[in-house]
Amino acid sequence: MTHSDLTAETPARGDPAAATFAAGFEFMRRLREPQFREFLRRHGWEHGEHVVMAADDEPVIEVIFKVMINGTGGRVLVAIPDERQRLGFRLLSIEVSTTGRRAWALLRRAGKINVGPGATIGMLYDAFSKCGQYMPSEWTSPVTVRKEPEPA
Amino acid sequence: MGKTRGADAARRLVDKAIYPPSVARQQVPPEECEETQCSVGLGPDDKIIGRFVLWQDRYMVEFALMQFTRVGGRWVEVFRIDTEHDKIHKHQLRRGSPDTQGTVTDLVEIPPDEGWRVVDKGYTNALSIIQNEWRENFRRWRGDTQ
Repeated sequence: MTHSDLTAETPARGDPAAATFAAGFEFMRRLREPQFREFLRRHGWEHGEHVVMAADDEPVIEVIFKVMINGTGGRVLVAIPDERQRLGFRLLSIEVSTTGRRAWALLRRAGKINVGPGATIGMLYDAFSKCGQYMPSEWTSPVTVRKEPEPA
Repeated sequence: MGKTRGADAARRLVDKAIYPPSVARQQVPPEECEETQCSVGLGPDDKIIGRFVLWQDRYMVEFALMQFTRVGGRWVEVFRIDTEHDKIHKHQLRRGSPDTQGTVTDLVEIPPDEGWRVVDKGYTNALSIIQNEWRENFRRWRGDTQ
């Protein structure tokens, strides 16, 4: 949602920004539940860390952009609303590495995952078994993506 | 007789589950409280930051919910609802103003005993208010409306 969009009375139907807007509030409501907080901790979330809402069909590059503007250089948890999940979300942690020898060494060791320009965050989630790093063509820093298995 | 005792025990269990302890909010031992804070990005220019404190992982003793917008590459606070001074109240902030309290409107008074119920319900209600009034809050912050 941009500020120019704020002049519209209602968000466009199917607009990913509108979908993530409502999902973000649902996330905050669920944060009240101990079970949900435990679910987040199992995904490596810690008190105070940033979370970014992303729609399943949102392009990866747009999600990375949101991670960069919301984060403060550290890891950000990406929450994808999914009604099929017991706790309502699929989670990935994403960290945009600082450029440097260590980051590039890590990237080489982990292996590069190619993400096409049309790839969505949902596709990226499905592609991972646990952890991976990739280098978007539009970016100059490696991006680390981590996925923990869903709790039973 | 045994049946009655069982019924009493069940009632006690139910009572325990429903009613929070009757302790003044200010007397809650800090070591039994846990704070949770989370910043949730809703879109490229909108985010909400929530903070709450739970006693015994169950009873909410305070919260603050803050609406942020991104302007010129910076995140600025537009609106918040919090539980300071034993009241749930909202703060409408204004663009360019150094006043961090803004226009304050009381919503609900928090009673000293069993205030958990009010705070807990208030958290859910505050989320609904911010969600429903997001654009209006932004317009007021920008100075479009009073």
